[in-house]
Amino acid sequence: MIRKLLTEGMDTHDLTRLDVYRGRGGYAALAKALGGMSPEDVFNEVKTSNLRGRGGAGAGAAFKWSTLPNDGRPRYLILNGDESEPGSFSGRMLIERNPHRIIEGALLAAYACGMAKTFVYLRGEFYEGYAILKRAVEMARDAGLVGERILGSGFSHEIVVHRGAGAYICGEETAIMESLEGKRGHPRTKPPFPTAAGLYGMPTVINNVETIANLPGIVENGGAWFAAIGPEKSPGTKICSVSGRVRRPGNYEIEMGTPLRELIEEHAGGLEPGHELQFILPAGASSALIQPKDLDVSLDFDSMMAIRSMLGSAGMLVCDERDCPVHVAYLGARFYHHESCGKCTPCREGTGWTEKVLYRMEHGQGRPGDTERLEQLCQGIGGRKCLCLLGDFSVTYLQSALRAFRDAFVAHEHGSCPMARQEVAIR
Amino acid sequence: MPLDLETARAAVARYPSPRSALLTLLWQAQEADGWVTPQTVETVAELLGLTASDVESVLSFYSMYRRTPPATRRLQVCRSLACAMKGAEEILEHVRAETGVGPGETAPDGSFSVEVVECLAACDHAPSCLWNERMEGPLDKQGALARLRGQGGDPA
Repeated sequence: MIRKLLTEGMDTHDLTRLDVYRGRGGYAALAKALGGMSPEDVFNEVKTSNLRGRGGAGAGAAFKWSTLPNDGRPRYLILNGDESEPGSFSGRMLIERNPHRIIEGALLAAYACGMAKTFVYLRGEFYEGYAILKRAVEMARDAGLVGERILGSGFSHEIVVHRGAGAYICGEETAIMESLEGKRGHPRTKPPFPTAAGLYGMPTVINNVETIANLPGIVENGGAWFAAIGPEKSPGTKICSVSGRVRRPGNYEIEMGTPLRELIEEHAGGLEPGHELQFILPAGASSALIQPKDLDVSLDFDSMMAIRSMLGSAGMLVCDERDCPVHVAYLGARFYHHESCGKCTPCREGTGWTEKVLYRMEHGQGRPGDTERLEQLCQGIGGRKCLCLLGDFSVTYLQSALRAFRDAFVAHEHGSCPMARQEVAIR
Repeated sequence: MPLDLETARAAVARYPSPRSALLTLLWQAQEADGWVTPQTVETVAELLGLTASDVESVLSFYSMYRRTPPATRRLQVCRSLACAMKGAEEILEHVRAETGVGPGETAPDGSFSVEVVECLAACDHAPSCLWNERMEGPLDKQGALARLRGQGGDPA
């Protein structure tokens, strides 16, 4: 079911205005924290809430924070607003329409963990979001909510809004730090993990903007309140971005545990008239497809894992009978080849070869054995052979499509497409 | 108008390390000049205590910095999954057929350019585009042509 915690009031009010946001209870959680809670108290509420990261992996937010070493070095918070996964667009909506909620959440995280500074990393294409968030930070600063001695307390904190310049890889947590240091966005080796040695070699936490936007509610109402929403192991809500062949594409904030069927058929209005669901990519181009038989799966981290897919960023791309699984694989391969940073060989070379094979299969020039060739490529690229997971992500959908629609791939070897797609593709 | 040194120094001061301001300074320069000029590379290198080749190496990694002066009107069409499914490539083909300008090209008189870009996080408005750096969509064939011919709103 729809449950608006992060998007509450967003459709009816201009929450980018500080007075409107405050008038609806905004910054009350910050006042509560600074007015009588210790940083440990705030940390404990987040721990009790069992909040899991909304960016993809679903790691426990408090667990990540708890791995920060206590050695007196400055600590940094990075908010990941790079949102570049094809199919995901919930972060952009929060940034453009509820920026103070992100700022308030960042301040609460910074207070709980004793952060020296927060950097919000936005992808370069968010021209509007960058202007809105920067203006929101300035408004908050003028109101004594950011900067020195916030709300008259002993807590001071600065937030820097930073812009990328066009690179999918900068959403990866170590590449984002390289980029923030003014370098090419190449991933780093792990370990050391960012909490041990991150930005400038200092302890660093990287949280997704949606994760952070949950903190005001948790601090205001208590961790136990949050933990009681939805399934025990995946509490809270998730903003699902639904696109593709549905009648009402858009962002829908649902309670975790809502059936996928309800999201697609009720909230997104079902498939376009006269068409039939063929498959869904539930977490953008990087995720294993879901077939109609699994439509009753519950939208939470663990249930999605159980059907060999993932909740991830919940960027749901809905495909009907017009969408050939081979064509979708080609589009994904072209994307990953373009976005591979080029540092590790399996990913750099493998994404190129995959695109090349899929291109010819899509253009009536498939060769006998191409399907097996793709399966071998998936083996060669996947399996955590690289510094980051871009290569692994590039084959996740492809592997699932090869399992579910092998016949379609084999048909393309002989120059035919079972969906009779007309090919227009630009390299 | 070149990079404003005062604004640039204020940006540098926001970061624990000067080099962190590199992307920001390149943005400031591109907003002032429309592109990153060879002079900008020199100025930014000097401001941050880097060599020009350091700056070049970073600049070349990121796809959004322009290395040549921009066209008057700029259309950047998303070609990632949701937009490709909804006909982005048919729009680009139509534009090429009607104007002779394909993706990655600029009209001979410099009045407009066409580019393809990857996912803009606007899949709910597919096919989406950046029109003079503003997110718009859904785009169609007629709308794309009207914009490029200067009949679709003023360039920013």
